[in-house]
Amino acid sequence: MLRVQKGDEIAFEQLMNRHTNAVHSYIFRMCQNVQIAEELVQETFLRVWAKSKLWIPNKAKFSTWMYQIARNLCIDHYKKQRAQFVDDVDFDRIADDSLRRDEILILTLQKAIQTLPERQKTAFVLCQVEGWSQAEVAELLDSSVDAVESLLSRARRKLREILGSTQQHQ
Amino acid sequence: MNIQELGNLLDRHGSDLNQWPDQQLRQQVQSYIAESAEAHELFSQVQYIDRLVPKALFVPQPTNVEAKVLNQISTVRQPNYNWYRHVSNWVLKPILAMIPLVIGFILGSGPNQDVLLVEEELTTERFEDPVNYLAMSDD
Repeated sequence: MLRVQKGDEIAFEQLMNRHTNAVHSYIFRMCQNVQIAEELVQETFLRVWAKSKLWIPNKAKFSTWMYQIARNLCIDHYKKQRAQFVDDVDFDRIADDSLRRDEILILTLQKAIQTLPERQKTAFVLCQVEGWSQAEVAELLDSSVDAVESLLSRARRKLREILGSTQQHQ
Repeated sequence: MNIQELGNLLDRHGSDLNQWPDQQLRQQVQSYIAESAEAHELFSQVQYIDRLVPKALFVPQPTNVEAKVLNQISTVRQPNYNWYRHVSNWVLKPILAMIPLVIGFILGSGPNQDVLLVEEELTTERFEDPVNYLAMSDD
């Protein structure tokens, strides 16, 4: 990163090779849209390049700083285009299409995750799926580990409730 | 332990009991799940959801994002923020800190017209208006 700060494009390419997939996973899981995710990943790295001199090594880990940029872009996108959860999934139509039970639940889960508030979703995606520790997520969210635990708890409860009612509906 | 407490714990720590920080609590939960059919059902449900999550959040491979970014960075300038940091730390922040002090000083040091008027009125009545002065006397 220190080389990137000096305008070294080869170092920047190496940095992208190392982080693109992880950043893309996070952004895609936050917005659930292939095209938008790719645009936001591009924008994240362009900002990393343009603002690289603002990163102060002793102040924050590079990955935390980069994810903060990615997260801010997701929040901006989220504000522009509030994720809409189709509250009542058309179960009859889905049943007609003879999808299996798992597929219906996966579809419902996808939509339910999209309805979570941004902080809950970030905590859930990073801790539950990406394997971050609660301390790392706390640093990203500028929060405490207890607060992250609480965010995770609320997210899991909401998903459990939605999935529970879907299973009953079936 | 009851079913409500188990639900709260599973929401808090997830269904992977090996990841739970408190070993004693984990053992309590394991024995509760073994004893109670209701607890076992709830635990199975949470495990099932946890297994579905990676499938629900499946991520496709990004297509050529790196090449697209590399094509654009030649046109993106890397501004030098050092001057901005210096200006911000040594000029802007002290000025911003001074503003409330200056406003307070101006408000505090200015003449208060209401007080002056009342003082003037009292002074005039008591000591300068001879009619009032005579009216106040016993004679």
